[in-house]
Amino acid sequence: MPYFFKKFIMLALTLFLIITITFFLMKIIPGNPFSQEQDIPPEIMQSLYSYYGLDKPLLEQYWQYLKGVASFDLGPSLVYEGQRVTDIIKNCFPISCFLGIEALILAIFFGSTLGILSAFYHKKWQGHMSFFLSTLGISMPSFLLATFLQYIFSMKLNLLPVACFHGFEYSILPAISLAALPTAYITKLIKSTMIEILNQDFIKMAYSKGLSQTTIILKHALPNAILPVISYLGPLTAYAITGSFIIEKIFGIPGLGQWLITSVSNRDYPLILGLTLFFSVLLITFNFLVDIIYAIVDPRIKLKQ
Amino acid sequence: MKKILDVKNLSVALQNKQILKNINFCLYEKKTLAIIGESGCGKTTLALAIVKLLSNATYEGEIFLENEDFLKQDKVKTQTIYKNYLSIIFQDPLASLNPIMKIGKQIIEALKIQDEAKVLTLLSAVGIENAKQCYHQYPHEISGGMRQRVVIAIALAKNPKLIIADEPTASIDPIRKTKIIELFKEIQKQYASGILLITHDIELANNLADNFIVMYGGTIIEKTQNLYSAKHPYTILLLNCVPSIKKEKKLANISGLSSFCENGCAFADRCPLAISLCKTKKPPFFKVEHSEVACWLYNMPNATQNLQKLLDYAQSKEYNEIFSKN
Amino acid sequence: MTTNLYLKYTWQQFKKNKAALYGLILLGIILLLAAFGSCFSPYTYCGIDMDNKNLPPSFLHLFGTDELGRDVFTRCLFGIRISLFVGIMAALLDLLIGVVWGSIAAFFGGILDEVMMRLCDTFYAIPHLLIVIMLMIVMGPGLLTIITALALSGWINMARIVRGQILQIKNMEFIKASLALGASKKRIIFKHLLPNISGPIIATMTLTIPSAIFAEAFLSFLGLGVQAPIASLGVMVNDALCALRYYPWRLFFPAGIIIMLMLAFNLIGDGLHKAMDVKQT
Repeated sequence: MPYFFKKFIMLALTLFLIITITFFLMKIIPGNPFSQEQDIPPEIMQSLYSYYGLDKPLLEQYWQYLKGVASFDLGPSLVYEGQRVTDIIKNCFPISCFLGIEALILAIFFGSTLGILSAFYHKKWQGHMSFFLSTLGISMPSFLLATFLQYIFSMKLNLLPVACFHGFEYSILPAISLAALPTAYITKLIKSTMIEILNQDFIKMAYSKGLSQTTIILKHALPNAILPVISYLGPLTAYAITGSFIIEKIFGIPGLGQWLITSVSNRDYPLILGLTLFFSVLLITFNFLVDIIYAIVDPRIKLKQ
Repeated sequence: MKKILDVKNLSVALQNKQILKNINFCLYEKKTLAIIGESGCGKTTLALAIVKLLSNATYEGEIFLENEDFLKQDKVKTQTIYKNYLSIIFQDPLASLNPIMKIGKQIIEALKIQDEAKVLTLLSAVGIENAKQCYHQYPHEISGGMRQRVVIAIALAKNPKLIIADEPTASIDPIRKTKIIELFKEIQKQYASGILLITHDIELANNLADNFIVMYGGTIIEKTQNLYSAKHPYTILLLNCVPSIKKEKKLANISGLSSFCENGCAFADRCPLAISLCKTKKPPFFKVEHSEVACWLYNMPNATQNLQKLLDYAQSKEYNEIFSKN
Repeated sequence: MTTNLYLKYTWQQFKKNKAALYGLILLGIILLLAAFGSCFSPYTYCGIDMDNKNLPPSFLHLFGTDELGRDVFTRCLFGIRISLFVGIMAALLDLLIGVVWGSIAAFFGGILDEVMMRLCDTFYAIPHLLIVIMLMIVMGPGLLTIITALALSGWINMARIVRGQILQIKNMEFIKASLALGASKKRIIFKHLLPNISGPIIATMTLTIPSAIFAEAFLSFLGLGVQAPIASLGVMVNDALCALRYYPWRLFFPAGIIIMLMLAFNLIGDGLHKAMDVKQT
């Protein structure tokens, strides 16, 4: 199956490139993890360095790292003693993941429904309203929306909790903030695709067969309209990952995002590398899956050649 | 004989642009009516208008399907009529099929009872050899000719009384074309349907149809039972262009799209026999032999002589030169 | 079509789109404010006045004051300038890198094209935020760093579009005809290629600018923005976050302006896309 194979090779190559680039980029960054708090005498510095293997030649460090990655060991955190990078990921990723998936489901469901409705009423006032709202949606940065929602619903109206993560209701505002832009984007996407599709001959053919309007929309139009949305899932995940960093900060959610930012300021090399790698792997794998799903759903793409 | 379709004074406008005006004709069962004209004269618009599948259109007039005005039916009745009474075959078979749905599924949708065996019978009937394989294939996996036949199969699935075929053999090679013509004739015999054939392929029309309507600029300019004894100057010129495809194309280029004309005859500015009356007043239909012709020529005494002049002129060197220049 | 006719036609189509016109007007107002607004304000953007800190909006201070007594309205006006500057510069850099990359790939084709586009795909897969963060640390915070960082994450889209457009046109008859008539490559590039690809490029740029503004605000929110006392709108929002409960205006005004800027650009960009699409049909 050459199609899968090609994509898989690309995946592996990209991952390798990422590991390499991030590793060397990190070594360029001035400063070191140990001199943040106070001045440490050179002997202690030296022993710390050799303990963590930071005094070995660059290529050897690189090789060690590659070995570690292969066995899913991303090394210890330099700043948070006793914690290994993989532990941090294991503890904090589920929360970020949960938030991300919640936002994704909201976006796909509401985006599709609103998109179909706007396509139908696009000449009437509902269509114009939908255009305005969706443009507003893509113009509103998620973190700004987050602060507005937090202010209105938590601080002023006391309907939902302000911050932290002790239950499902804590995820509502963050998920909505994250989902707003993709919902607006998907609405626009489906609307324009649907309008195009509804004008095509095969839809007229479906009408001439005497099928009901619901059947035509659900069985003929929508499956065709959903294709660009599937392609969009890739960039959507990237957006969700980067967006989550800030949303987590605003709502005080103990997810993976804030670890990344603090690790960079702390020069915590293994943590930076590990998290970068983790997110990249996530993104690339997801893109790969999306490509496969698209190929399965659209029979025009030949999987076997 | 039973009337399958009766169009009365149909005028259609698309987004405030008049496309069709005063279309009047009837179609009887077991008969085939061919509508001929060059590209842009409104044939496809007419086909879509009759089945109410034209977007953003305003209709005037009546379309009778077995004594009921189709234009006035509500959604439910319209759906029933689609299901049981009429079928339309669109110009482009690839665009008429849902690209991500299997062929078998698309045919079965048109049946009243979801019967896979019936689908296979239909596929074989239209001449597809490996019906079972085709059933599970997607539109892009089969050839253009097969797609055309699938579309015809879908049209036949409901045993329709009225079949509207818009350029049904446009993308088909000459050998297959003959087979399809035979198929249509068989269908007509078997189902007693009326066929409305829309084409700019004169040869196809001649082979299949009993009656002909010639359209120009959104109006009917001639109705006849015998194409080769047609009376309208346009039809004569058109027929004389047939042997040379190049000339036919030139004719089409000059008129362009939407050449609907408010005053006078639409063909006046290109007609070699045009007089001043032609440019100001629209000609009514005159009965001449087997045809009804909308041409002022037939209101004048020396019509036959003028016709002969026209025929000679059409075959002359001069005419060919003029039209090649344009 | 000659460039003049093309521009005229696009403008005619654009005018018909009410939403796009509103966007243009909105942008115009914001630009005017940014350029001349501070002339009408008696305050400066860094004038500290500890007696008047955290005041709500009033006639004296249209948008209130911040924690150092600075007039929020004046700061916003300066903030617009900074945000716009960053956005436009980043978009221009994107344009430069993207056009060069895309044109080389499209023009020469073959293996070079494959390699260049594969590299693009690879870079695209790396979460650009990470590169940005690391760049910020390597180069130190500041205006130049932000602009470079933003440009680095956005050029890929531009490169893809440029390449796509050039490939489309490269194969068109009129190019081959020109070549056959003996036109020099330079003439073809300037008289034929550029006018035809400029449309989609401009439309893309009007959408790159808001995403650059967004990204700048985003980075500022993470504390990686321009340094005090220069303040972009994003920095102002970040500074106001902790005081959200008690002094919400400090966040809402700059935030509102960011949203309006992005809305204006999005409406214009959308209008441009529609105006140019019509031409193609």
